Amino acid sequence: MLQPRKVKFRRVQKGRMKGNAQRGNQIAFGTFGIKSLESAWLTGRQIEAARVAVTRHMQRQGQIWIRVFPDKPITKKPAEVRMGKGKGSPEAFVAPVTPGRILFEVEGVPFELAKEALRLAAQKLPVTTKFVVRRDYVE
Amino acid sequence: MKSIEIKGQLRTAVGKKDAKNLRNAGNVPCVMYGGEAPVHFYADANEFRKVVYTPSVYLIDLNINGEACKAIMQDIQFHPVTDEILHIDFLQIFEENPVTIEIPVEVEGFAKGIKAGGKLKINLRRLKVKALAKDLPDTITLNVEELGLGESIKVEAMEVENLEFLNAKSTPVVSVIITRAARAAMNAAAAEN
Repeated sequence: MLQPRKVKFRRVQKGRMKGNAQRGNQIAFGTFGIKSLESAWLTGRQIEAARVAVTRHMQRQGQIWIRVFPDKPITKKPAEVRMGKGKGSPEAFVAPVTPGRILFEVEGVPFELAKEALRLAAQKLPVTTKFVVRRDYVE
Repeated sequence: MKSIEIKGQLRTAVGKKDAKNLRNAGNVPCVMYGGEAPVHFYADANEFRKVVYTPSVYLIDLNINGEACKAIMQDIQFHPVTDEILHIDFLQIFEENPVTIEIPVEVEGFAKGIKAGGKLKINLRRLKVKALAKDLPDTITLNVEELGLGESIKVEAMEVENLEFLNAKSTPVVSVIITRAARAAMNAAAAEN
């Protein structure tokens, strides 16, 4: 599962996800990819589940790039605990994603295989996505 | 180099509101610079399909209100979500001045390394070159027949007449990488010996 090796601050503020992705919104490495159409926090587990779905469907052919990294710690209070007494303990790491952000890229597999693999990956994610192809791609 | 003609109209007004109206009407606001003064114009979005959604690079014969000039596409902006073209920058070119442009790489031949179980990897799909417009080729062709397993062709090894390559010299353009299966076979052979 993706998570930082060490962090400078164990707890961070929530922050806001405004507007569209101003960077990471174009295919940079592979030929096919999926692009987020909504904003959400992707947890390390969701990213890993999507990666496994792609790898399984592509049967270890081709290459895959994960374009988001969960580096934001999320805290949670234990169950049945009264409010107050400080912020909860770190529970997971998430990657904030805004519309337009490329999430996964693949290369080295045929169009149909890549499309199906990325469709399966998208089902593991909490955002609606669209399948995108590199602009200079020719079959 | 191949060229393509695009007809444009001069923009009467500039600014966000005007640009938005142009986009809503199916046009793309553009600018051309590199000449005496920048020229703001617009053209139909469909005219750019052949230039943008292709692996080839074109010289563009711009016809703005009947005035012809040569240019190359310098920059292009897309909408982050819908991927529609928002704006295009053109750089006017002159016959006597060299231009810097990215030319696509074309690979020919069947590498030795692939027969040995390797896989051809194109590290750079386009190479940045500097040359006069008349000397620009459509593609840069690389013959990979002699490329063995684990070998690569670097930018420094490439020579094309009248072209200056601007990428870092040590960057590999194409390489034959060793696949997991080939590595396992090599390890098995080494263990037997």
